[in-house]
Amino acid sequence: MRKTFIVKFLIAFLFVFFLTGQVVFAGENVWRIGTIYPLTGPNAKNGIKNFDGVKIATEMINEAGGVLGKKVVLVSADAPDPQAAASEANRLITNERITAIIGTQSSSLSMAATVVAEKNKVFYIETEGVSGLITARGFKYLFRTTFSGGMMATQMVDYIAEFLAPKLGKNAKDLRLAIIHEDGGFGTSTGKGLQARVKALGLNVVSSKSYSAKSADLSGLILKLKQAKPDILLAAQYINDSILFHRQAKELRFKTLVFGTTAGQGNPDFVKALGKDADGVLAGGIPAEISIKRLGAQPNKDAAEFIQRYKKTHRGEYPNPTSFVGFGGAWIFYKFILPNAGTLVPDKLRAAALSLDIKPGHGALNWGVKFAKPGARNAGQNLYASAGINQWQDGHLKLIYPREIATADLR
Amino acid sequence: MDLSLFVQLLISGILIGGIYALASIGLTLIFGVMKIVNFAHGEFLMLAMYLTFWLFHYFGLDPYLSIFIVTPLLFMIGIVTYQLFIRKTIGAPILTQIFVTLGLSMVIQNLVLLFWSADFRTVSLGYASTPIVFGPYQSLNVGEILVNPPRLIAFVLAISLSLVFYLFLKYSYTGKVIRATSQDRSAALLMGINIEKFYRLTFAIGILLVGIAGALMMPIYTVHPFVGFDFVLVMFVIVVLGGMGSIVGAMIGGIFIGIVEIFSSFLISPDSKQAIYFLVFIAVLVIRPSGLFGLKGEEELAHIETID
Repeated sequence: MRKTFIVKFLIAFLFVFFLTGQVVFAGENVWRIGTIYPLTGPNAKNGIKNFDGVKIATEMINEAGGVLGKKVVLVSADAPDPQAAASEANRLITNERITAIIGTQSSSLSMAATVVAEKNKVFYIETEGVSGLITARGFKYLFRTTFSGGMMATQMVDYIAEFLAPKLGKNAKDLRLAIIHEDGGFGTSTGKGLQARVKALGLNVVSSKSYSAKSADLSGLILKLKQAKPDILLAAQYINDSILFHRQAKELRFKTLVFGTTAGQGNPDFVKALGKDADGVLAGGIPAEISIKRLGAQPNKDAAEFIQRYKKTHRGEYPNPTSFVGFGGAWIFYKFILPNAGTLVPDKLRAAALSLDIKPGHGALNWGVKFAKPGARNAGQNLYASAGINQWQDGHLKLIYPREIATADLR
Repeated sequence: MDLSLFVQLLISGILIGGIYALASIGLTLIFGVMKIVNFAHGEFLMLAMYLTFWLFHYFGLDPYLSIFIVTPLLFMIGIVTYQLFIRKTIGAPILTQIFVTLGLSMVIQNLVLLFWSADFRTVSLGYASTPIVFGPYQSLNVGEILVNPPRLIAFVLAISLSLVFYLFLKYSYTGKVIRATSQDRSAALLMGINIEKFYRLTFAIGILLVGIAGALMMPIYTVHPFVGFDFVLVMFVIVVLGGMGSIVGAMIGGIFIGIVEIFSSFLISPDSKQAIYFLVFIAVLVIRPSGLFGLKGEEELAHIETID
């Protein structure tokens, strides 16, 4: 009786020792970095694609010898909803002893996860959540590598004034603009950004509406817009509701130039659903394609390799836009922040991030790296990131702005 | 508001209401007869939409023809689900039933996500996006009214289907047994009815009905693993509003919610529509706790049966 107990105890002890021993062992020779993405749940589609970008960046850096000679190991967490995002952040920090996290794809998930990280003084890279609220809280350890919703909205409205108005043969101030947005975090913050910029430029808004992305019918909204007769409709939508909107708009014979975002109109599923009707639709946000010819030498090489690796693991598909920003975020961390800090101690990482000043076109993708200083209205925002403007042309999403990396002209 | 616009809004509201009703009929049946709240109902809708999509994708089968394949398949899925999961929860505390169906919904969602990914998939029919034009009717001062064919088909089928089903429940032997079981389980048992067999049948018919809804909705909506979420809330509202177990109630309730939704989103604002139909919903329940067409005391019956 006693003997078997001792044997069992020893086996259990060895088992635990082996497990924990391995963790400690692994921890000394590699950089262990946490990732939080929605890999299941309603945001899984983009979450997985964004995480794919991070994984490829990790693969590339490891094959090139790692960071300062040490390989990067990702400790991945799944965050289908904000509660899970917060609890997984907690788990990574307390159980896995992670001090640097890359995440989260969606703004509402980011809001939840970053609170936990900030409270524990853990370094956090946000790769895609664009909401202005994320950086408006004055967090010290939070850095967003990609553009913010406000930056995207500004670029979209500026593009209208500068390029679309002449194309439509009108003075920008005579254009009739309408704005619609879904009423979640993404839509609301983008909608606010659009309204602010339109007001700043003194443009004419004839209708402005919000609605729920879960709506099963948008005909009320569409008939209202039809009455307003806009020349251009700015739309901050997700993919599901953008497909429904375009389908119902066609059914109700509402025709206008739609300028959406890559969260909705720019999604590859959009063209699968709408076919020819997608042609001409604009989508601001993440660049769909990048003309690497015009990038700096090193970013060009990195981006080309990323595209090639992505195609290899995705049956020849060109990278999904959200994978680009995932890659960009992780790449900035591996190439500039981590080597500069030389450690995963959050305060050192933070100092390293704040000291960076890399001009646009010399960081990752077409971005540079310069984070807004603490105390700024948008502390932690990468000021040298920029959004792109895409357009569906013959079934392909082409980047038409900024000009340096564009792959096609506006039609 | 001019008359054309009013008619256009009304028709849009009635058509979306038809879709809501179609999706809710199966739920109200299961609710009414078995007193089981099937939280996985939206997921069966999703499965039917996926089946329709795959039949279109691989065999080019028109969604309206795939009804003949999807419906029997969903019936089978209903029987299997009943045998494996639901059977044991009959007469169990209501919490057990909620956990079983809610758990089932999570499992289905995540299995679908695993095997079919989170892509948003659509079926595009050439004839689906060209509206049918009615009018203009000069004498009535009404301009052109635009009607979308898939929505019209879904609506017409929803009406005829619920009519057929209503007659089936009213006049066929099986229908009478199902109603008897729903009205008084103990008495039905005493009359020698094999309750278990009819529960299984009811559950499978409920799933079959949502299967038809799925096939009819595929030309209109995008399917993804979480599409059930988008419809399940409004489905529950309609079932309770119309009266648990009432087919007519689900029809009227669905159309009522559809009209309220469309008019409030046009007249007030698109993001107010849920608030408005919930207000209406609460108001109806205050006046008639058993719903518009529910039998008086139906909701209490459900309560008593679940606590014993």
